[in-house]
Amino acid sequence: MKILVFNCGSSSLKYRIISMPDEKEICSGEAQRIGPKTAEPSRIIYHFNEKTETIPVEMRSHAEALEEVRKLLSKDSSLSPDAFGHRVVHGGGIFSSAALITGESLEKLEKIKNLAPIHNPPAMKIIYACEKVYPGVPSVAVFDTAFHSTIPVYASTYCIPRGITEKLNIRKYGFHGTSHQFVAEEAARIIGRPFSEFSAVSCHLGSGGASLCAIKDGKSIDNTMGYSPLQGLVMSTRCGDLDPALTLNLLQHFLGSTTDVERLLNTRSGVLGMSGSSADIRDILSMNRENSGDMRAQHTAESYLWRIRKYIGSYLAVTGKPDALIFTDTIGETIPHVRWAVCSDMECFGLKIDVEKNEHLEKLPADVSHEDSRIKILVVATNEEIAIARRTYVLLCGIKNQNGDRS
Amino acid sequence: MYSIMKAKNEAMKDEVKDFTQDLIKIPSISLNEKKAAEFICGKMKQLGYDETFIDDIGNAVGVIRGRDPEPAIILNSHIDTVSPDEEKWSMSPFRGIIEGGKIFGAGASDCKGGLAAQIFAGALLKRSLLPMRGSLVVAATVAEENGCSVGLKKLVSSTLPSLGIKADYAILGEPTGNGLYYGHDGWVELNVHIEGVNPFQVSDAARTINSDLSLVSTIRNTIASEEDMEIGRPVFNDNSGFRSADMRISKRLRSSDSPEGAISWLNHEVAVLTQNEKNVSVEVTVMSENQKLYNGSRSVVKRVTNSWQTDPYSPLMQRARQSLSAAECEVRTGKWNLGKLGMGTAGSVLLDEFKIPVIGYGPGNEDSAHRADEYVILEKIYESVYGTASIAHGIAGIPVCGWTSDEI
Amino acid sequence: MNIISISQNISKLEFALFDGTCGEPSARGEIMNWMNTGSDGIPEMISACFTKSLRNQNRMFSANLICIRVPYGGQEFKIPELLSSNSLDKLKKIENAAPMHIPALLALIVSLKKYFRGTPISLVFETSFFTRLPARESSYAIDPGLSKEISLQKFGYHGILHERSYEYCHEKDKGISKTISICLEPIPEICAVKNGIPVMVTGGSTPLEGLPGETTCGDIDPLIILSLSENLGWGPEEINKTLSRKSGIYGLTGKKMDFAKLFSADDPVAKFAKELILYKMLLASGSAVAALGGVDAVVFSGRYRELGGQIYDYLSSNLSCFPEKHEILPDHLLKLTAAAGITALLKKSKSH
Repeated sequence: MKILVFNCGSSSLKYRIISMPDEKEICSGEAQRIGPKTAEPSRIIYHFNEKTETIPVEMRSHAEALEEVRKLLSKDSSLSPDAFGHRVVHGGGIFSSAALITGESLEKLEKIKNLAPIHNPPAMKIIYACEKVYPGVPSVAVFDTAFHSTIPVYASTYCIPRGITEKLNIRKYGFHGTSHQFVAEEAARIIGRPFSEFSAVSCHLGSGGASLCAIKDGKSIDNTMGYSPLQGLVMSTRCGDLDPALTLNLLQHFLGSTTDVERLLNTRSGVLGMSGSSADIRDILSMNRENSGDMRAQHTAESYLWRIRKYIGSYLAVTGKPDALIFTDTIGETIPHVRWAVCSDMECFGLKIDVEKNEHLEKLPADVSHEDSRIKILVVATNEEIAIARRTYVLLCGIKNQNGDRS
Repeated sequence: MYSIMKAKNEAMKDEVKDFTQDLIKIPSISLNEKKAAEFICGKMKQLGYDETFIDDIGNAVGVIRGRDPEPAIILNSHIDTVSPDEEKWSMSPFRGIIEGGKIFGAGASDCKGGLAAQIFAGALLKRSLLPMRGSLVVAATVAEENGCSVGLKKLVSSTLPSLGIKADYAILGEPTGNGLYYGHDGWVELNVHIEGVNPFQVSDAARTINSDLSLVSTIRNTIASEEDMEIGRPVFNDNSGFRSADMRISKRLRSSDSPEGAISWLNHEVAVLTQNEKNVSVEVTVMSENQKLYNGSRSVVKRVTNSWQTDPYSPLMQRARQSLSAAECEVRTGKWNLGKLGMGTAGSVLLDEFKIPVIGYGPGNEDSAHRADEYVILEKIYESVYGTASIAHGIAGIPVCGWTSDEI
Repeated sequence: MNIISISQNISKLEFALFDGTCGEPSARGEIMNWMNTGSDGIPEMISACFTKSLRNQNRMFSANLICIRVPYGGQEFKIPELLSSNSLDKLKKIENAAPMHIPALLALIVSLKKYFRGTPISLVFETSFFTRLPARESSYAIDPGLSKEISLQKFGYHGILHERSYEYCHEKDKGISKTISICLEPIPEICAVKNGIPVMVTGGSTPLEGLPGETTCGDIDPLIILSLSENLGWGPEEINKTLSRKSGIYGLTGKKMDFAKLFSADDPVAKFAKELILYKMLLASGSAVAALGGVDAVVFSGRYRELGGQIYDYLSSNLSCFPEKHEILPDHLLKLTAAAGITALLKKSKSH
């Protein structure tokens, strides 16, 4: 089965065709700068048969982008998809697992659109466009929040009046679920433990967003992100944890403008706001390595690492006796310094990193824990597209079997 | 924070009542505000305002300085009142008689009650020990009812700059019944001057114009179900071979109307009406008058009150709404009706001339203004003190967020 | 030596009279809603209360020192200090960071000085202990130059108890250097102390951040606040009221309940609230262990310190690195305030 996976941003559309169940990537690409014309032209980067092409093409909407992608794929008959897997960021309180797109599920999706006003609507546009352009090809929505639907109520409840949380559906939803689940499944496989008995703390440290997930017996029990992806760790431009009074004071400072406060906390804070020089923690860490003497950079790096370390402590506590601590995504996979700094002097938890192994990592997945470490420290490459393809495949096979049983 | 403010406000009630009463006892008919201004200034000083003074044109000004010069919020009410028609009053308009929870007197509603509320709002913030981020200016200005707000104009153009303050927002203490009002229609007084060598032609022309416009006015007033036009009787004047007639026409200006528009409309009307009277000339102008302020300065003022409207969803309105709601005050928004011609506020001066967002919030009752037995409800003044202080704190106070739980 | 110890809260002013630093107070009292009336009559009320209590013991009332516990002193007050005109200037400078407490304190000081003419006044700050919090713990991931009026520095608000808790453990066993101090007050607070210096604390730039309290929300996603504003049309004032006075245990259960009541209640709603709060404490304790790189002692303090046993059992069942048993700090806040106030006085007299 060839599954075309879409990962849709507000102005981009990443796609990948993955054949299942062998999980082989057939082609991939990304449509960039979708929307009204900008200084740089919109284009599609197209990767197939070990060749990469950049094709400039005007795409004023996500629907137009999909049409261009369809044109490219139609050039080769091996690229015609049997199913679609769509990454949808927010599944609200409704979707606790991947969902086949039907009239009913679309209706539900429409209802929760406003919970993720930046992320969900473009993904839905692609879903609608697929229905039109490829009639009869099934679509599956895979949610970032789905894996976290198992977070216990005491961990997902905010201590504000119940009337309000119920009325506005305010609770911890958690994000990056697809990735956390994928790397945790990989880690369980490496350790050789059934996923349903596997406990871990997973650190998804992306170059943009980042979150930690506490996993117990194969289920997410907590995530550092909350009602929105703004809470938790220090991220590239997002503030993470903040005193509620600070947000309130900012709101008063900006004369009640939620847009101004939201923009500040979402796009001008985090590593960028603290350092005043770069939104990329790798830049900040290398400034420190070069002893640039930039105090703000030093301070930013320390705060970034410190917050991760504190949450590792929290999640090691709530997972009981976890099997592994997992690092993934751009920063987690490629920056040994980060792994070392957050794991050092944590023997009290049964956690000890092997400095040598950590520094000289050749290929992923890798085990960088010291032999004395009770908890394995693993570095696992995340692959959200394969994860989406997996969920899509499992769901469709399940439906097929059910239908087969009936006939 | 609000429970402390409420308690302090409760304790201040008698002072507020006495001050309002005393203020009413000092007549301050337009252009004769000196005594009242001095009294107000003294009161603000006594209440602990950081600076109090009377400016060049005679406005009484009190300032509470915050940590920053910005933002600055101006609480403005006029000191002057219209001259009461004492024969119609059932009591003296200058005694501040209290009956059934109301204070009666000239300007009680428009807007000595509002002025009292604003002055004590500053005092309430001080007594509640709430530090300010920006500055709070209470300005009791002269020459609003007559004088087309020259007092306010002077305040913004020269007094505030001399204090190093740039006004960011303003609240008028005009009567709104403690609703948040964001504007009103305007009015203009036009003069139709008819002149000719043949006295009969002039008389005929004047009568034609008068009767025709009276008819138009009746129709318009009926349609609008509020006063839209008022036509004065022609006043004749014979002067060495010339006869002239002057007629005063008051016209409501709705938010899309301008005084110039009203002139060209009236010019057109009278031109049509007098097209057969070849030997008379007709001219329409905006009425103006020469006024002498209490401190002796003179100015020519045009009889125009412009319509104005602050965006009801502007940050000022939003924050005012939110602050009142948090303070558990009634939140009611709207506009002044201006049921009578000849009324208005200085809002357009602030909004259109100086580009300062402005709203109205005052305890008075619009319907009672400029009438015999004018009154203001005492409870409304107390509520207004608290409401005004809450709004001012919302805009220019240091937020208390995070520090208000009973115990830590 | 008679020492008046005063603790400042929004709803009430608590005070006690100590004879030296040992023993129980010889008199104590409180004034409810003291900020509603103004400070003028307060010294008189305190004095009347003490005079009456002492008369019953056939003693006369006099005061040699007044010590005031102040919730916030910013970076300006690193240790308790004897009141001088310089301290008043410093207080004025930081009033924006604790705008409900500092102006009220200044007014209180004025009336105390007037009434107890010549009696020295010591100021003891809850935040002093946290002026040594490392920057990596005390800062937020936002532009530090954003606003000079908005305080962007994290503190803890039970520094007096945390500091004493560490000392208490260290005095018992000099080998103890890594302590987790759990202060059980209406807004509970967990602090990790290493060699006498705090390295992690749940409090924030105000006491609202951190663990949920009896009426306070504790940590929440910043976007929730924006969502409340957008969906309910609320301004920061209204949201603040909800988060600081209608949330926490009250928000979860719909009932005004203190921690003691919550921990003994057995209706399902209260049980859920307790489970939630214990879970938050476990998260914070995990952070504290990570911050310390281990733990030698766990100590409970504050008015609900007797709940320490229950809480400890839950925490240690999840954190195997916890020591075998917990400690409970017996001291009361007002007494510690008095003790710290005396230290400030002695220090000053020595320097002269």
